[in-house]
Amino acid sequence: MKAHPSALVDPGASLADDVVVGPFCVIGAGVSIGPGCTLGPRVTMQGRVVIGRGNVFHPHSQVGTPGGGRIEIGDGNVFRESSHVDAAPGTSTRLGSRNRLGAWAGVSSGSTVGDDVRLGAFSTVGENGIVEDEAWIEGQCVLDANRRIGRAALIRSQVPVNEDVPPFMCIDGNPSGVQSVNPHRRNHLLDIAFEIVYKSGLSFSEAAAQLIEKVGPSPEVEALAEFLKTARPLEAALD
Amino acid sequence: MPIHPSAIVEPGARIHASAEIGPFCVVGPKVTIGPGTRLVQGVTIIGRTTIGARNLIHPGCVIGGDPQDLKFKGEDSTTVIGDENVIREGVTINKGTMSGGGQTVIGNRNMLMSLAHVAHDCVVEDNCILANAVLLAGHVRIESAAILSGWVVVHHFATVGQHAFIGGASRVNQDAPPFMILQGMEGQVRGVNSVGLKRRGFKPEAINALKDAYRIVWRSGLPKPEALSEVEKSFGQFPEIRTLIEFLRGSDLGHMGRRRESRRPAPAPTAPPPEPEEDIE
Repeated sequence: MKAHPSALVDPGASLADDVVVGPFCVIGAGVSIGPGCTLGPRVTMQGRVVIGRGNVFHPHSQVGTPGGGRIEIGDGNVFRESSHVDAAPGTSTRLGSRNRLGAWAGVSSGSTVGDDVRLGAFSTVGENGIVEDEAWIEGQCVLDANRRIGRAALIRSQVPVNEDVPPFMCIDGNPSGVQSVNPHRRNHLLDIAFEIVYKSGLSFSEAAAQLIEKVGPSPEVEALAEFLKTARPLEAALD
Repeated sequence: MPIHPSAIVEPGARIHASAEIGPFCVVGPKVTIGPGTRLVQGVTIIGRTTIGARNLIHPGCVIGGDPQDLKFKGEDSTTVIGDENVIREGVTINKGTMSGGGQTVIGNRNMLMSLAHVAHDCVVEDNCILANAVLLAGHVRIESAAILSGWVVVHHFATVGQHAFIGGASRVNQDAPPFMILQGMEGQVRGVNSVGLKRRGFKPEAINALKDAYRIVWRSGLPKPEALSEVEKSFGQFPEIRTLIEFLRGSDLGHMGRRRESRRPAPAPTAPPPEPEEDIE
């Protein structure tokens, strides 16, 4: 461990040999940091925190609170300035690998974030939220608590998310709504599936039952149907 | 050179004798700080960053950090800040990327309020105001004397024209024309920034010509090229109108209504899947 003399690293913390700890960092007891991690100036980590390999923590980023729940972070994540990951006592928060959190972005307690997720500046994942792999949340978005964001979904900037967003879909507007297929993942089958789910007046469960039959088998459509079986549309989500 | 004993100034940093570095600041080895600039407390300045004279930088700012861009491969790009800027608490300014010009620039006499974020390769000219939590994506240009209200988001490669005023919590997805007021989720043009122009000493005739131009371009329903040539014919003697017309034609030359899109580096021909090349704003 290469810690700057001004950093406060608790003897109870376990840091790999090549971790770089910048000036004024505070690392509490019970924090475990894997090899290759870099902590910029003034990073705070406290509570029960387990961090994998090769993560980069930029200045002022913060993981956990003293006496908080368990936080697990995978490998190769980037935490930008003042981003924060929280876990209230009795909850556990998990982040996968290769996620990128923008400045002031936050992951609230009890949330689960997959791999390759981009969380833009100022965006916040609400409590107990689930963000699946490759989802892209742009800047200044607010995700209500208990919402689920499907794989490779796109959430445009400044959008309040009040409902579950199915995989490969794009949500936009204020008040927000699913507007189209994620333009980066668009294909013919997903376009037809979007029409069935959002333009035909069917409920999510009815649409899920018909999707494979009407659109034809494709891994993306199957993932969409699977998600819709448990997803809650806006009306149910607001109850 | 008043450097507080608790501040960490790495060897190699060039700090002018009259600059003031407050407690718990961190100044990296490639940083240059000019005369009279004051870092209040807990400011982090890293990367190859040059800061001019008489700037006031409040607690918690991080200036010159790595760009949030997937194309960035650790190159030694720069951040340049001019004179007499006020940078409030928690502002983040990232350095440039080589594919985008390699430089993030803040001009002179700007005010960046709390939590504003200036991403890689942005240019903020002079006398601009970025209110709280304004979010500039990469490669954005903010021209002189523009005002961005709180929580405004600017799309990457967009340009905000000179003396434009962007209303609170708006999204600027396309170029914002100079001298206009924009507001709304799609950055709609709502009128002429006549109050701002009057305060800055623009002539009443010029402001009236801009109002007429606004009606012709955005309210008459004419196709844009025809509307622009009509405005040029009727009011072409005003330099403000010529600036506006040039700006609007330039936006059409770009892509998606953003002139600076033409600066977007072409994807390498050997890489078949065009990676969505955004940064994470």
